[in-house]
Amino acid sequence: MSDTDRRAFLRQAGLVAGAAAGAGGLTALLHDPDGERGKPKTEDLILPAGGYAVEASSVLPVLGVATGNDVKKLVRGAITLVGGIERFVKRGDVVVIKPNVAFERAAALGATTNPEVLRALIELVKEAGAKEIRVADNPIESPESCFHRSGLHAAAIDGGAQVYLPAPGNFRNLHTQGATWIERWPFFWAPFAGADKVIGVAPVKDHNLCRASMTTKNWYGLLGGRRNQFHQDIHGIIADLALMMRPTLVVLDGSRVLFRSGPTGGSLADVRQGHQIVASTDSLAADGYGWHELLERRGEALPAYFKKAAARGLGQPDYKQVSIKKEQVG
Amino acid sequence: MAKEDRIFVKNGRRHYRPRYSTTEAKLGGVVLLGLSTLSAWIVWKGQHPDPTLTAAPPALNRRATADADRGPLPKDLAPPGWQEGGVAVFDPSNLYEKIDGREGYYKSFGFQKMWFLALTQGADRSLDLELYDLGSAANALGACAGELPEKAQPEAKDGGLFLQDRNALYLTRGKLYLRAIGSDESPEVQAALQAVAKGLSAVPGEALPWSYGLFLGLGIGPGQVSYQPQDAFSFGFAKDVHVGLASDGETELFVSPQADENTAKALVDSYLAGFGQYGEKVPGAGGGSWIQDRYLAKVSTATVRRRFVVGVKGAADVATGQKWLEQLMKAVDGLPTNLPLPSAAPEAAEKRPEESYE
Amino acid sequence: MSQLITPDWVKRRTQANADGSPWWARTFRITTIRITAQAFFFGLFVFLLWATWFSRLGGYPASLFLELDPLVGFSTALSTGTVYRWLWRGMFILVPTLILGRVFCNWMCPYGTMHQFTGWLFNIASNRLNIDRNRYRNIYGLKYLMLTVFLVMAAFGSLQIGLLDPICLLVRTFTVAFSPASELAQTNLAEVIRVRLGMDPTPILGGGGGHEQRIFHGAWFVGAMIMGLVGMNLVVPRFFCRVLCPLGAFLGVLSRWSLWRIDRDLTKCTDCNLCLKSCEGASDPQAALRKSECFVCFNCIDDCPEDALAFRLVPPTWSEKLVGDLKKGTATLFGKKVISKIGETVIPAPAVPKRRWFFAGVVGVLSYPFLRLSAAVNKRGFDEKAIRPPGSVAEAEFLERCIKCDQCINVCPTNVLQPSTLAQGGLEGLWTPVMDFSIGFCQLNCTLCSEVCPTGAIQKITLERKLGVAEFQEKGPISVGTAFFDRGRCLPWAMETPCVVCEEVCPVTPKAIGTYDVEITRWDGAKVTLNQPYMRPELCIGCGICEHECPVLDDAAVYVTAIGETRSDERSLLLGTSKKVKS
Repeated sequence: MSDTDRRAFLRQAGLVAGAAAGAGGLTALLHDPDGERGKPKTEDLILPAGGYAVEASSVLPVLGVATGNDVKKLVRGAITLVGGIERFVKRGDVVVIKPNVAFERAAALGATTNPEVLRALIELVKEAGAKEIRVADNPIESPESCFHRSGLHAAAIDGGAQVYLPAPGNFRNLHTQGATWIERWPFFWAPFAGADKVIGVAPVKDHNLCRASMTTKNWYGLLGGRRNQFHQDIHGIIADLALMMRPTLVVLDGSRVLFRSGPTGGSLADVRQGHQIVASTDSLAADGYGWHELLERRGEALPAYFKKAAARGLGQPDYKQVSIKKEQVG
Repeated sequence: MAKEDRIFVKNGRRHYRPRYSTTEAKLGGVVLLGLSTLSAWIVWKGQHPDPTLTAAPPALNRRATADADRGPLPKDLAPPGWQEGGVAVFDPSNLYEKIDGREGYYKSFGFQKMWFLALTQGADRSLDLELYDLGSAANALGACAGELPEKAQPEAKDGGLFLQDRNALYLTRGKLYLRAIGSDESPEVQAALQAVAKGLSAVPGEALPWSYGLFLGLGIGPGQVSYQPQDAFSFGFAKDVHVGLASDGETELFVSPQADENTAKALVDSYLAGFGQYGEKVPGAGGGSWIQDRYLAKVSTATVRRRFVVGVKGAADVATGQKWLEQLMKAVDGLPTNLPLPSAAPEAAEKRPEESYE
Repeated sequence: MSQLITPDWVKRRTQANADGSPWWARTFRITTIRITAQAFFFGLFVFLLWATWFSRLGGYPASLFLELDPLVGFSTALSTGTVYRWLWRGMFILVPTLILGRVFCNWMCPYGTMHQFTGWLFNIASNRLNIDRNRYRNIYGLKYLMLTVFLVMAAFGSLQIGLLDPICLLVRTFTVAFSPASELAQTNLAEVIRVRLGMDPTPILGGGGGHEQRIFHGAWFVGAMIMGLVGMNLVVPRFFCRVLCPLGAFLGVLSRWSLWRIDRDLTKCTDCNLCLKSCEGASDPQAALRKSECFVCFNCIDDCPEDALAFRLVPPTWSEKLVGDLKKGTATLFGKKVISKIGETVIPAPAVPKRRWFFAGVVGVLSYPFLRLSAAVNKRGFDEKAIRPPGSVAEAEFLERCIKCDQCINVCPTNVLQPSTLAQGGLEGLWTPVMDFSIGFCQLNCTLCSEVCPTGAIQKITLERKLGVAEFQEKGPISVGTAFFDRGRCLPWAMETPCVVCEEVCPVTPKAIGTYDVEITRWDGAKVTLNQPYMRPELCIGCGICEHECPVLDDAAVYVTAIGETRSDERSLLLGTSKKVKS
């Protein structure tokens, strides 16, 4: 064997040995004897302990109700009653605002949050020095159409907020300890990444199944997945929603009241001007107020989800038992 | 030779022309001009969308037959410049189609029939009229009073209530109750509401029921008088209750005629037990049994006068309550003896599905 | 004077040419201008497809390229006897073709640009190989025969040009294959940014499309088709354009009369064949120019080292004016010595023998009954799932108009519109829009598909017309089908489980779905109130949101079929309902 041959042999043999060793090593590294490693892994998310709520106050009222005609003043008035926006939003906060954009309907039909209310709210949050304002919802009908037709897209963009629309990568499993049905459920996570505060702003609507859709039912729009199963126990689901999301503040938009044919509405005859905006740190109290005073179901018992949520200590559905402050504005 | 080089060259991207013409570059300028024009046109088109493509339709609820029964709706109700849609008629079996979720409210006021009519002006202004036949003037007044905006001051005229407020009109004519809601608060809508009210004044009214006379005598405005055919104050036993909100804005006076004094007495006990759920008896209060609300600190009572249950709910203190109660009893004494008894209670509102989950 | 040092590449580029013309005459020569126009039109094409979406549409002429396509206008005029809405815009291509030849093919057509670019990018062949590949072959006559078949069928009422028309094909490919792929890429990229870089991808990528990943029936086939056709450029340059393109054939037939054409100067041409090196159309400029094949790309002029080629207005037939013998090299033209050995300079008409034209005509005549008698598209055997978009004309007329461009599918915000598959609609229905409610639903307040349809298969309708309000009250809303309950699968009917999703989402007022509210004693003795749904067919518009939202996901307990659709009297369901009034 000549020198050249030996060198060529050694080079080639080394190559073969290296390739074989590499393949073997890689196989050992990736080995999955029982098939467990190969299964898709999903890390569950959890929202911050205590939610996004601010410290409770013994002085300030739980419910602030502003009555009048000028929506902009109403929003400001109601929030001022419960301590002013500075109590809820600090300079540099990233704030998520969750309106109800569920349907592709014109704003006047009352099936969605009044865009003027959102506009006023964004302005307030901005004044308080929020670094970033994100408006997000996962509507029933096609998201972009809903946002545009309801006027909420324009309201958000004009105010300098970002609109977060649901997209395939935007959902991650959320773990909600103690929830009956949605302990693990796909959650519209993208807007909540790095968020400091969460404000819900929901219209007052009749609902064919759960009877009333207000600030608590509003969190429905943060979920993805098989939402059409929720109807099998809608009250249990709404009580779970109350557990899942502990907001900084809820604003109940009583500027329009969809008092029948809810939740979709579709006729102006189903809508009444409510002339009220409610701000609260307790969404059950706000909804209780809405049930009696805005939907005007004074004589009727509250829907079952109030009781279920209250039993978990998530709020006080009897608004007459919490401190309330009312004011006529403008 | 040179030719062969060209044929075998690997780089096929070269070109070989020996001469160039400035005409081509000038032509290029013309082409660029054309492309810019096309771009400008497309940008302009993009900025001018077809408005019908994204506009919401005037109203989505215009389905009715043209020759439907107009009921008591006067002909040619539409003021000049407004168009009438077809009339749709609903009875208790299909009211839910029109009013899903709130049909129980009208049914509790003895709902018989409803005529729906939409008036439109142009593409985005509309007025929806709902005319309810509720069987009796007391029902019509009760339903109307329950839907008035808070602190509204309706007039009692032409044998009915009347209120025009912002974009809405509420009025009653005898057993009929009309609510009309406009799409906005423009002067056009308000003028149309006035025209509609005028059109309906042709429908004969009916003198206001006795309870109005009773409460008006106590200085209570017609808008503060309401009628609860059932479930008054959320009490299942409380039927056929006439309520007046006193001038202080919080004390409610109520009267409920019964068949005889014994029935009335039995009911008074139920009322007192009902109030007692939320409060305790006020010790040492005058002659009556006053109960103070645990949370609101308001006092309420009920008692018997002739064959009437009379009572006061939500007075600030016993002295005020006592004052109102005495006035009320005096007024009740003046009532004629042949007042109508509570009619057979209307069917209870339909059961709600969620009761099955509880 | 200037102290600035001019870089070498600038010097090279701004040197005067050898012939004494200024540098910019070289830089901005005709082929550069052509490439600019191609880039512009390709960009415009992609932009308009991107704009074909609810939030971006505005007033953009989203289907402009389809309307400019004169074959779309011509073939629908044959099948319907009318020129719909904007299809007159085809004149903007037709007239220039009559004057300049097939300029569309190499200046405007985005599909042609895609082929040319691919061929250019991957071409490393020598000049000799390129010259051989760009010679005319008889197979290039095939496109004329296919055009004949398509046009004869169109005249009978079966419109099939959309199978191969380049604009239809490319719009469809973007809709069904490229845009969903770009959505997937965006989603995955967002995931990488979020997980690997730990950053919020929303500000970078704009938060996704605001909808679920769009999916399409038969996307694989449409994708395979474009990869195959574009890939053929590596074997035969411009394979699709030369062999298959029916629009190219149509324009080729027209261009035989064009006023301008490439002309060869016999006294300069040395028969070196370099003009074939980059000839896009394989139109033989080195010999007798095949006018119908020439794409007017001007590459031959760029490549001619003898300056023998030029674009001329109605040049004479030089061969008739030759004096002397060409073969012996003694020929002269107006006293100048003829160098080229080939005297013919033009073949105006497509080189297809008469008998083949005739055969193609016969194929077209026979194809019509073969296709139309397929049960899938016949009114007696129609597919119950062939649910057409609102505003569609009745099925027979629909097939006279639909060019399978899938613009309606592109604009549909809920992904409900799907290209029909061979299995569902046969060849005739292939890629026409049908609704699949397991994927989406027809949104109540949306008429976008009717806006973008270039041919009126989906007639332009207003929202008032769709919903049957205002002046359309008498006609009632447009119904695309009727929903039915499968009580054997419905939770309240079959499984004693509460559920009223279908009633809740039913968007019409009054609702077409009602419920019987019954209290039952369940198997375990518990009392349960069930809302058992029923359907009121006279109110149902077939929007399918009930089917889409039904929790019985795989085979919904409420499902829509095409019966009762407004567009067709033959498929009405109820006696004397307003649905029977045709649009």
